[in-house]
Amino acid sequence: MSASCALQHFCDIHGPQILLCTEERTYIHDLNDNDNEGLKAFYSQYIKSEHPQGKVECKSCTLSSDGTLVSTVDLSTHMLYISSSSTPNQELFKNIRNACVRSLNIEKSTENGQPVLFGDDENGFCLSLVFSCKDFHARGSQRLYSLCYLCNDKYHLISLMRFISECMRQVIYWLQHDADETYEEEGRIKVNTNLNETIPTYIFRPPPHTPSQRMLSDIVHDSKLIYRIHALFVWILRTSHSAINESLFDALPTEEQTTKQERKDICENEHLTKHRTRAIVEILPSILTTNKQNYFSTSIYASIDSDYQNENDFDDDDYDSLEYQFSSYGNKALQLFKEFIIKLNDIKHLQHILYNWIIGNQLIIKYTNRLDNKEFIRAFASVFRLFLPDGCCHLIETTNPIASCTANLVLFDTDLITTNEIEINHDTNSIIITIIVDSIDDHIREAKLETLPLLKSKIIVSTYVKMIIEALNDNSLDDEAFEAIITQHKIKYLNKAKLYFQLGRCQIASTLSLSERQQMNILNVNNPNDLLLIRFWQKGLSQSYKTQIRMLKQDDNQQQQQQKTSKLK
Amino acid sequence: MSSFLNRVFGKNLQLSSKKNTPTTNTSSSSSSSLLPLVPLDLPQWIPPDLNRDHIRLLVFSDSDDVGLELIFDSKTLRIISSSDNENLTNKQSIAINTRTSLSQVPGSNRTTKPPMGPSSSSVNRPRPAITRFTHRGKIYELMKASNDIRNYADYIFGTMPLVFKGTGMKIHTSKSPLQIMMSRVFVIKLPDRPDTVVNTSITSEPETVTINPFSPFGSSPSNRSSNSNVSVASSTISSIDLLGEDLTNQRFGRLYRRWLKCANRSMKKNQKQPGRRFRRCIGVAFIITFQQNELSKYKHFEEFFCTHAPLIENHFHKIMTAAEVNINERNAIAAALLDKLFSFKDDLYTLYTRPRLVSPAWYILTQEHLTMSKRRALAQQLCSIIDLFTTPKYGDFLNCVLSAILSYQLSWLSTVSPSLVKTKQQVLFKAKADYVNSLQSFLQYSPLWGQLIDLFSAYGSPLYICRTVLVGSDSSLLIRLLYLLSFFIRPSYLIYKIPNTILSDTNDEQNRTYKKNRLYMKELIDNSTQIQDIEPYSPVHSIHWDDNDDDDDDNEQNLEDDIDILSNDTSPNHDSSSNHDNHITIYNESQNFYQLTYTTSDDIESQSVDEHDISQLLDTLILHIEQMIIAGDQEKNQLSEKPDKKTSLTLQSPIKSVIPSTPIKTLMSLSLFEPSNLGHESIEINNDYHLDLALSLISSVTSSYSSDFILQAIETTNINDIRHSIISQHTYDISENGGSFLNGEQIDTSITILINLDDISVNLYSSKHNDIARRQECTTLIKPLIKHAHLAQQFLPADFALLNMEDSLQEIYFLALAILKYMKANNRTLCSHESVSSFGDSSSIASHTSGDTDDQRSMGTNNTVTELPTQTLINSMLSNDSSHTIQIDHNSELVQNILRKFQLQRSDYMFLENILRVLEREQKQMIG
Repeated sequence: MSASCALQHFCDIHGPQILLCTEERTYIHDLNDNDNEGLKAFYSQYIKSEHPQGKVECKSCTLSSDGTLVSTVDLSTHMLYISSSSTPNQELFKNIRNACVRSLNIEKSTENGQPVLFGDDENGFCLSLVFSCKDFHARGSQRLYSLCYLCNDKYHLISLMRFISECMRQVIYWLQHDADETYEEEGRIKVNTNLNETIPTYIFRPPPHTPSQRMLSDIVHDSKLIYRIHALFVWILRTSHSAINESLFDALPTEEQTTKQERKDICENEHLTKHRTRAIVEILPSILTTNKQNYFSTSIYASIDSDYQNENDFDDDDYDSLEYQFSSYGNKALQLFKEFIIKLNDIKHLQHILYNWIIGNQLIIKYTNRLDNKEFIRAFASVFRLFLPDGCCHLIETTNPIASCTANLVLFDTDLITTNEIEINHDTNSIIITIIVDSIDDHIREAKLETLPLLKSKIIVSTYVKMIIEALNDNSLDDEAFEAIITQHKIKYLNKAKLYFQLGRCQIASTLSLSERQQMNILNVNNPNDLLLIRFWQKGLSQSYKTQIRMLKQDDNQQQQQQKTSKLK
Repeated sequence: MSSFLNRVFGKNLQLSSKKNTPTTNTSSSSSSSLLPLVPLDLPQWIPPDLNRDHIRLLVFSDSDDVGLELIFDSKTLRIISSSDNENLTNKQSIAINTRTSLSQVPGSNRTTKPPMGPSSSSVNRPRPAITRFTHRGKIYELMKASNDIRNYADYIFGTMPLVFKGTGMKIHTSKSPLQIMMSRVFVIKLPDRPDTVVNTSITSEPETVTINPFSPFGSSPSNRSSNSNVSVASSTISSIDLLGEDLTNQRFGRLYRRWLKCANRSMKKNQKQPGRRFRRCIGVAFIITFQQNELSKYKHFEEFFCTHAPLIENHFHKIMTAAEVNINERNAIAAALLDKLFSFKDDLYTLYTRPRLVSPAWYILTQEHLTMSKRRALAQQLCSIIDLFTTPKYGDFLNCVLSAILSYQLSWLSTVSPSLVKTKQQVLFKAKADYVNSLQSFLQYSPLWGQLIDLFSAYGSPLYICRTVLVGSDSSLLIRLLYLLSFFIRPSYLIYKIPNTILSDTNDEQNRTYKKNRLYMKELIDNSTQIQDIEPYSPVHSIHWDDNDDDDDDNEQNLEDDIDILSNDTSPNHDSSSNHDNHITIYNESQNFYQLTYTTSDDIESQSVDEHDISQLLDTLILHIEQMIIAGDQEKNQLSEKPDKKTSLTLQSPIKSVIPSTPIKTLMSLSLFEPSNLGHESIEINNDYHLDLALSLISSVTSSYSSDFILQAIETTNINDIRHSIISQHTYDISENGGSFLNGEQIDTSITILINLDDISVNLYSSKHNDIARRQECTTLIKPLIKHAHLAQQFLPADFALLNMEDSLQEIYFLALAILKYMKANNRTLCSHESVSSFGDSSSIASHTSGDTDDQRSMGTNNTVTELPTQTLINSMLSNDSSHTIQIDHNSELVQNILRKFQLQRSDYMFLENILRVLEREQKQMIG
C-alpha cells in the first residue's frame, strides 16, 4: 500500500534501467531495544539484494559506485524510508520495472516537462516525468532520465498529481542545473589570452567521437548524489502524505470519562505535593480504564498493559486500580449481586436500597469477612458503583466506626472490630446493609437491610430503579450486556442532569421559578422521583462541562446586553 | 411570567400531537426564520466556467489482426439537423462506407505508413472529405479525420500499441494547448463475433445494457451479491479481532472503517482473463481543452478534476460501456457514442457548475476559528428552521425527515462516539481526531476517498449507498431544510497544506541557484551515520533460488525482450506475451516469500513502549494491520500451489553478473531533509468546493436531478420525473456494467431518501424494492432532538440546544451499543434451539412494514425486472421482504424482546437497524 519514488535512466546499451528507488514502510520506534534484530533483518535484505551484478561495468546504469544505501526514519509519522537500486520486495520491483520501461519507452508525454499518469489496478499507478540532462560525453550530449512516483491507489495519486509533479519538477531543475554547470565546464576550455584580462576567453571543445558511459553523479558533479536524491525523494513522499489533511471530529469524552480524567489530574497534583494516605481508597470511574484495560488484556498485548501500568507514577492500588470496577469482575459481580437479592428476599427492600443509593444517600455495607478476602466485597461494591455515574460516587473502605460523611458508599469490615456492637455513626438517611459471608466458599450466607423504611408502602420506586431490577431479573443478559444497558441509561440520565444544570444557569428558566411538573416536562420524565436522581446526578457532571456552560451563558448575557444597549440607542 | 411559562409548556406538552395552535412565541420565531438565511460572512457561490463544446471524445480500437483504428472522434462527427435531414434521406446507402472511411484515418495503419508529424497530408486539401451515413433515422456527417489523431493514439496506447496488455488508465496534461486528457484502454470481454450476429436490439439503451448476453464468461449476476473478495477480507479480519474495541472505545471507529476498505481493496486482484485467441483493445479518451488565455480557469478545472476523479470516471465508464457493446456495429457505435458523449458533457458540466450549498452547517460549526456569537447565530438559525418545520401544519414531517436521514446517512455516528484522547483542538463540543494525519501516511488512503465513503454512507458490506433528494415548489423552504440537513451529514473536511516546493534560492527561472539547499544537504550528509552490524540476509525460503539454470535462461530471454522493445519491433511475439501473463499472476502469489518475518514477532510489540498514549496506540494499530497483511498473505500462500520454476524471471535485474562478487554495501542513516526549514512556509488552503468533496457534493436548489450529489434540493412540481430519474439511477447503480463505488466495488443497494415538501412526505426508494417506496415513519428516538430546539427557542441560549442535540444523538449511539450487546447475549442462549439468522450479513434496508400506504406499489408488478421470472413472482407475492437475503424477522422473539426491554416502537427499531449493522460490523461482534 505504500508509495515509492524511483529514478530511472535510459542507458544507451542496456535500455531502461532503475537507478534508485526509495520505498517506505512503517517503522515502530523502539526505545528499549537497542539491538533491534527485526530492523536488522529488514536492512540485511537490502544488502543481499544489492548485487553489483555487472553494474559496475556499466557506469551509466549506476548511481553510486561505492554501494551506498541510504535510510531515513521519520519518527513523527512512524515511517522508514530506504533507498537502493533494487528492492527485495518483488512486487514493488516488478511495478517499478514496469513503470521504468513504460515511462522511458512507451508512454509519451504531451510536451517536455509535462507528467504522464498511467497504470492499472494490477501494477499500480505511476506518475512519471521524463527529463534530460546535458552531458558532454553522452551521445547527442544529453541523457534521458525519468522520475516516477508509484502508488497503488489511483485516486490518491490523481488527487496529488499536480502537487507531486511540481515537486518532481523542482528536483529535476536542480539536477539539470548542476548538469548544465558541469557541461559548461567540460565543454569549453579557458584560454589565457592577453586580449582582455577581465573577461575570460573560452574555446568550445568538439564533442568526443565515441560517447562514453558516465554515472549521473559525475554528470552533476556530486559524489554524494545518492544522498541528495534519497533526501529529495523522502521529501516528496513525506510532503505528498501531508499535503491533504482530513479533519475528523469525534465527540468529546463522556462525562464519566471526563470526571475520571479530572480526578486524575487532581491526583497528579496531589501526588506531587503530599504523600497520600493509604487509608482512603478513592474509587475511580469504571468506563475508561476498564475498557482500556480490557482492550489490552483481551488482545495479545497483555505485556504492553503491564508495562504501561508500571509506567504510572501513582500507587497502583490507589489510582487507576481495577478495584471496584464492574467490568473487572464481570459476571462474578453480577452473580454475587443476584445472590444478594435472593438472600435479601424482599423486592421492596431492594428497591429501597437502590433508590436511596441512586439519589445520593449514604450506603453503608457492613460485612463479615473471615477470610480477609477483599475481592469478594469489592466485586459486590462494584455493582453499586456501576449504577451511579463516576462523579457521583465516593467510596471508602474502613474499619473505623466513625465513617467519613463525604463518602456515599462505606464498606465497613466488622470482622476487624473486636466488638460487634459498635454502631456506625451515620446520618438518618443512610442505608445500612449487613452481609455475612460464608467462610468457606465466598457465598453470601445472609443479607439484611438494617435501616428498614418506616412504611413499606412508602417505598419509592423510580424509573431507573425499575429498569435496574428488570435488568437484574433478566437471566438472558450476560455481564457485558448488563453493563451496556446500565451505561446507556446512565448516559440518558446524565444528559437530563446536563439539561437541569443548564436550566439552573438561566434566570428565565431557573429551577426555582418552575414547578416540578414543568421541570418534568422539560426533562421528559414521568416519575417525580426521577427528579431527585437528576438533581443529584448533576454532581456527576465534569468541571469542564460546567465551566463551558457558564462561559456560554455569560457570553450570551453579554450579547443580549449589547443588543439591548444598541436598541436603546 | 407564570402565564408565559404556562403557554410555553402548554405548547411543549403537546409537542408530539402538534395540534396546538401556535402561540405568539412560535409565530414570532417562525417569522424570524424567514429572515435571510445566511447572515454569517460566507463566500457566495461563483459559478465556474466550462465550455461543453471543448470536450472531445476519441475512441480507438486496437487488435492483433487489424491493428489500430480510429472508431470515433467527436470533432469530426456531427448530427445533421432535421431540416437538412429531408434533403438527404435518399442517400442512406452511404452508411456502408463508414467502415472504410474510418479505417483510413492517418496513423491507423501504423505498420505500413511511415510516421508523420502533425503537418500530414491532409493540409493539402482545403476541404476534408465528408461522409454521411444514417442510423435510426438520424443522419450523421463524418469529416475526414483530423491530423492530430496520430498523437492522441500515441498518448492513449503508448508508442508501442499492444505492448500493454491489461486495462489501464492514463492522464495527460499539456500546456499548449491547455488541455487535460483522461484515457482508458481495456480489453474487450466479448468474444469477437462477426457483425451479423450482433442483434440490432443491443444498442446503447442504458436499460438493456444491464443484460449482457455477450458475457457468458463474465461473472453471473448471482455472483455479484456475494462478493467473494470482501468475504475473504472480512473473514481474515474477524479472525484477528482487530482492535478489540469495547463499548465506548470507538476511537478508531471511523479509521477502522477506512482501513477495512483499504484491506478489501488491496486483496482485490484482477482476475486473469481467460485465454483468448484474439485480443482486442479499446482505447477511449476524453480531452478538455481551454483557450490559451484561460490559464486560471484551466487550473481551477484541473484541481476540480483531480479531486472529483472518481465521479468523473463513473460517468466516463458509461461511454466505455457503450463503446464495448457496440464495437462490432459500425453504424450504431457512432450514434451511441455521440449520444453518450452528450450526456457525459452534461453530467460533467452539471458536476462542475451546479450551485453548491457553499457552507454546510456542519462545516461552519467545525471551523476552529468560529466565534461564539457566530456559532450562536448559526445555532439560532438551525433552531428556527426546526421550529418552522414543526409547526402544526407539518405534523411529524421533521421527525420523519430526520429519522430517515439519521438512519441511512450514518456519517454522524462517529461524530458522537466519544473520543478517548484529550485532544488539543476542540471545537465547542467536538474533539478533532489528531491521530488521523499520522495514520494517513501508512494507511495510504486518500482522504478524498474517505470523504466519499462518509458522504455516500458507504459503510456497509455488502455495500449500500445513500442519497437524499428534497423536492418542492418553494425554494425558500427547500434551502432551509437543506441547510438543516447539512448539519446532520457529517463528512470530514479537507485542509490542503501546500508547502512551498521551490528548492532554488530564488523564484527566478533563468538564474537558479541552490546555495541554501546545497549547504543544508551537505550538512545532512556530513552528519549521516552508518548503520552497523548488518549481515547480508540469507533467505529461509530457498525455493526461489534453487533453479539457477532456469534463471539464467530466463534472464537472457528477458534481456531479449528488452531489446525487442528497444528496436521498436512492432510485430509482437505472441509466445512471450502469453508468458508474461503467466508470470504476472505468479508474482502475485509468491510475493509473500519476501515478506519480512520480523514483523510478526510479538517481542517487538511488548517492548515498544512510548510515553505518549497516542503513539503507543498508533504502534499497536500498525502492528495489528501489519499482522493482518501478513496473515492474509500466508493464507494466500497456503492456497497457492508450488511456485513455478520460472518464477524468478525478471525479478532480478536483467543484467546478469558473471562472477557473483561479495557485496560491499554500506547502509547510511540520513536525517530528514526539510527544505521548509529554510524559511518557506506552507500555505493552507481549504473551504473551496473544487478541492473538497464534502463541500462539493451538497448541491443547492436547482431544477434537475443529478446522481453525483448526495444531498440536493430540486425546485419542481413534477415529482414523477424526479422519481423516474431516481429509479433509473438505482437500476444503473446496481447494474453489471454500471455504477461501482470507488475502485470497482460493486454497489449492492442504492437508496434514495425523497423528501417532498409539497405534500409533506418522506419516502425511501431502494434498488432492492425497485419502484416501491417505503414511507418513513416517525420515531420516538428523534423526538428529544427536536424538543431541544424548542427549549432553546423558549429559554435556553441557542448554543445550549446544539450541545443537547449532540447529547441526544449520543444517546442513540449508546442505545444502539446496548442493543447490540443485548442481542449478542441473547443469541448465545437462543441459538441452541432456534437458529437465528445472522444479523450482520443482511445489507437490505429495513424491510417493508404493514403500514405501507404507498401508492407506488402498483408499479412494482409491471416493472422491468431483469432477474429470473420466478424471482419476480416471489417478489410480488411476498411483498418486499423476499428480496432480503437474510433478515431478522421483525416479529421474532428477539426483536419483540428488544422493543419491550428498551421501550421502543417498531419504527424505532427499524430506524436503528442500519446503525446496528454498521456498529456490529465495526465491533466485529458475531451475532448469530
